[in-house]
Amino acid sequence: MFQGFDLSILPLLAVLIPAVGAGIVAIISFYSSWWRNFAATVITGATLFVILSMYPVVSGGQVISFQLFNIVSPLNLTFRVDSFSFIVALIACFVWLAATIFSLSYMEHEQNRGRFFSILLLTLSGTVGVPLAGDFLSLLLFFEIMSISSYVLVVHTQTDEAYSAGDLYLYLGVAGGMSILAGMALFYFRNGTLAIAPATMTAPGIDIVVPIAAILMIIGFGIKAGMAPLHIWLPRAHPVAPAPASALLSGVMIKTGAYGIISVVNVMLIPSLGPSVAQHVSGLYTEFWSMVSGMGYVIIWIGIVTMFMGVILAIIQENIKKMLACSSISQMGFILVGVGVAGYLKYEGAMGMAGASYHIINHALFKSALFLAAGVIAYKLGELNMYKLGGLWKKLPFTTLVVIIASLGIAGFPFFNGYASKTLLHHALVEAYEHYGVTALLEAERIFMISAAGTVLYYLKFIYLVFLRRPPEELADSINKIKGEPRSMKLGMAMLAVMIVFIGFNPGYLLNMLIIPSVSTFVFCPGFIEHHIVGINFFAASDIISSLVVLGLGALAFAIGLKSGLFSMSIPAWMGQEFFATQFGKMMVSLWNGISNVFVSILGAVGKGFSVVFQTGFSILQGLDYRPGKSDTLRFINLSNIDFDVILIMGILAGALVVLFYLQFGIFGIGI
Amino acid sequence: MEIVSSLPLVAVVIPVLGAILLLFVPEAKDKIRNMLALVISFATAMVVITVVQLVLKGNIVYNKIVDILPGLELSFRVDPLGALFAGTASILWVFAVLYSTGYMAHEHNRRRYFIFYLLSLGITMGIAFAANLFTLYLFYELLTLATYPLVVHEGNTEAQNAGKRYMIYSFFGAGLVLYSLFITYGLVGTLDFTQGGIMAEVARTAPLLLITVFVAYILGFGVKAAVMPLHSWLPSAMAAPTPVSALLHAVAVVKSGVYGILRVMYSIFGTETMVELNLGIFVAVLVSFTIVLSSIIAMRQDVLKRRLAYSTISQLGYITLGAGLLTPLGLTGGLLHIINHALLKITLFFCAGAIITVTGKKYISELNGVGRRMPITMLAFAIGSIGMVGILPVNGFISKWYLMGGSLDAGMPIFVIILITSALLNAMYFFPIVTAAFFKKGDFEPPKQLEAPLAMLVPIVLLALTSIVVGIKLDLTVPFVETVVDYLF
Repeated sequence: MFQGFDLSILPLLAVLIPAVGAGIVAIISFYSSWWRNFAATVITGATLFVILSMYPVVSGGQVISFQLFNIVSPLNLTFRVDSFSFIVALIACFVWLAATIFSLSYMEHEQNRGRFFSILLLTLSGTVGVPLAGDFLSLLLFFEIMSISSYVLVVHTQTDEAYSAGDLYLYLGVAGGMSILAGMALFYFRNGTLAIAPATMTAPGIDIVVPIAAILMIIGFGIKAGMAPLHIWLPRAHPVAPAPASALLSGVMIKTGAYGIISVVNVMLIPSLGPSVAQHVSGLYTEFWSMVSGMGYVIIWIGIVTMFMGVILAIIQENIKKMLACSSISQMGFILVGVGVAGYLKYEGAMGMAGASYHIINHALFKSALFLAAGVIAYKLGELNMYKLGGLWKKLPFTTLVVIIASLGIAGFPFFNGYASKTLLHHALVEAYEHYGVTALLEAERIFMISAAGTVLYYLKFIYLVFLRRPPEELADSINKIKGEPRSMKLGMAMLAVMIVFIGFNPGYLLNMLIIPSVSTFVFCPGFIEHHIVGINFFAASDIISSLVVLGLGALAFAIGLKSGLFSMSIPAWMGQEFFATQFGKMMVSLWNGISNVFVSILGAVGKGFSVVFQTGFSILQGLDYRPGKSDTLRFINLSNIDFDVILIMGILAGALVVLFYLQFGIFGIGI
Repeated sequence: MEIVSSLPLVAVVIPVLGAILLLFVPEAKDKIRNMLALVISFATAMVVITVVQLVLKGNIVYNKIVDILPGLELSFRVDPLGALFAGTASILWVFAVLYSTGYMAHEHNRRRYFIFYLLSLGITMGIAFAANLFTLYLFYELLTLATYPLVVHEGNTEAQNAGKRYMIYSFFGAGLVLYSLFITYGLVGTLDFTQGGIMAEVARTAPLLLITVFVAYILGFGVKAAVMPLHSWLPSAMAAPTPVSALLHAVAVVKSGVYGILRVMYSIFGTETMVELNLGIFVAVLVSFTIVLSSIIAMRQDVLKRRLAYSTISQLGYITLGAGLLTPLGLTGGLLHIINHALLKITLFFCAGAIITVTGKKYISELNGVGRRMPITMLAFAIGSIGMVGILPVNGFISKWYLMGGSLDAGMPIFVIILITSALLNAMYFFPIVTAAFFKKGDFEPPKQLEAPLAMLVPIVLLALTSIVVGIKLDLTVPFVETVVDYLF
């Protein structure tokens, strides 16, 4: 099919098409909204097509590499597509297409549509570029394009709330980028390479630079991934964007953070020489391995904290989109646990990586579907407070169906996609416990289960309050007036819902097609993958039972919460997310003002001192009154603005020059 | 190979003669004056580019004017470093003159303005081409005189005071340079810029004296390079018309100070002597304070041009920091920043000037929603801001990357922290301007026709695009700068 066509240019095309398309859409939007919508959809579709056409090469275990020399960075702009980067790019672009189709009708009510669609494409370019990049500097380029352009999506509505949330998003994004940059600089100027390939980090041996660089980069990517405690921007920034943009921010863009963390872990893993070889390589490796293992352990716990905190935050939310955003934090915690296990168990960590990459796909699907559904509600009613909504299933049956499917997916119900990835992650965590027998990980596993149950709880709450119960009086009228969803919204949501169900029924299909090739690109022991992951039985009795227990626990908690009226209690302000974010911000600002006040006053005093000296000097000079007024000789050149005292200073300096020269030559005896 | 050619002298003389020519154009004949000024600056740029190309081929262009004393002559000698400075300045001068024709259309005393604008071009070329410290010093002083009428152009009290302050600071600095010049001449008997410096022998016999001389040099040139605490003339000189602030106070004047520092460090003292006397660290630490402190002060400024001025102070520190690291990578970063900062800051100033011309607003707090009125200008401003922070793919990133490499090579990762901190501070004082312009509510209406005069819009757009192109296509700048670094090390 591609005879005579150089496939290696595909990654570049995948990035360039949306970037150029952004410009095209921006121009078209001045003329026709229909053609603008058409162009935006077609360009996104074309990008998806380009990414899909990489599949034949990538699935064979080959790698697509492409380089542009001396472009962008002192290194070159490189692309490197293996199965893992392929999956992330593919899922990003697929969800992007669904969200773009959805937004065709959603954006009808919004301002600045041309800007929205154009920036959406620019952001796509960055988001797709992150996984396709072949070295960290190229990755950072796309990461920054994504960060900066998605800021425009966050503040799209231009309300004060959006603006202040956008500020936090922007500055934390910049800080993250700078942290990555610092890590990269350490890494590059030590090793001379930034390639995203196994073991590049260990090249000239092991020293303190490696962990510092890795930690800086993980912090930078962790900000984007919503890793606790760097998540504070996420519940503020994600909900204020228009719904399709929130879907992409929460479903796709935070995955680039996860992808970055995975890449960092990846470059730290030493290729599998087989455990036997690793044993008799010098103690250096053992030392390095124990460091990687230690970092993996820390990441597991960060993941656990993130997921649990996300659940707690999600349960107490009233706003649907805020709840979904907090839920994203929690789900990123699940992914981080997988990544952490991969680092912790090194060669035997394939299960963790498989679970993490599987969950990246799944979460992208159901979280985007849920945000789009929230978008339907916002579009129809303009109200997102769960306690003010109700009974929407009669009026929006399609949306209700999508929400139920996606919620079952995220809750990990068997035959829905989240079940597969959560099972893998659970296995990974159990393996991590069994491997070294650290009892703390047993607690981690319990928190994992409790978080899963909590997820069930808040989605039940969401479905019950918004769709099933009788509508409250105030909104009953406007709810009665709703007439179905627009077609493009249905199509957008359907694309995602179908995938959720499809993966749910064939968990092994995706695993074999995409996950196993991608995990094999890392340095894990192939024997382990062969043994434990290939042909895994997802529907083993024990796994189904444990997932049903989780569901039961969640449902029970929900019933208790509903009966006791706990849900309608609002939490005290000082515990709220908002409070921390704003108070923290205020604190920083006042601290900042304090510091800068000190500097400014010191400098002001110095400046004052100087100017007093000058003023005195000038008044003395002026007191001499040599000012001749307007000079006739100089009138031709209008020099009246040059004060006489300046000319005087020049004279003095010239005189000083002569005297000093004389002294100089006198002293050193050179003579004129 | 050393070529004897009068091209450098021609590059200095053309604008000076041009300035004299402009004397005869009456105040009212704007079209003729504008055309003349453009042609003259363009011709100068062409001559400079010819010289630069000669130098890039590995030649040194030499041109002796007059002997003054044994070992002391007025002469031009263009090596790669001089070519870099002259090339950057003269090319940007063309843009700035074009922009000035738009900006000055409604101002008074246009004739005086253009005369001195061109005069400064010739003098700046003289600084760049100087063969020895004496010639450099001469033109350095002349530059102060030639730019004074531009600073006080408005003629009001604020401008007058700014002019006085500028004069006094500059002469104070030049005085220090003169002092060091004497001692240097006395010690070595020559002031020629030489590869590897001329101080190697003296460093062994009189190290303490040399350190004193060095500090005097740095403080002397540091006045124009706006090294804290000698910076305060620069923000007050923002009373000048915007094209003056843009070109002279972001490129020509301030960078002639930096250029002086570079010359002293690399052509007079030489890297070996610098390392021997441990002088690099002194410079690096001194400017680190400048970098961070001026960024902090910049955040408190509400007048857009003053904020840009403090940003200039901070960014000039990058260049000096790169030089002070005394590693090839660091110097590459510093020299790259001469080009990159010039492009970015001149774009930002041009945008500020366009805003002042079109809306009459000069306070940042009045600029909410100005993006509706001037979308292209504010987009260019956004590109400039992104570059200043050092975010890919705008050119500011590249110099930052090399500077980080330089500080790691020198074994001083503390400067990586300084650079990162400065980047964050930059983000905190540049991005709010952009975001408020586009996303905050204000009472600006979309433009009916062009958002700004064409003569202003064209340089803005061209320079913003160049910043991105230079950021993406490294072949345009990096090999050139590497030649310079090879020559200096």
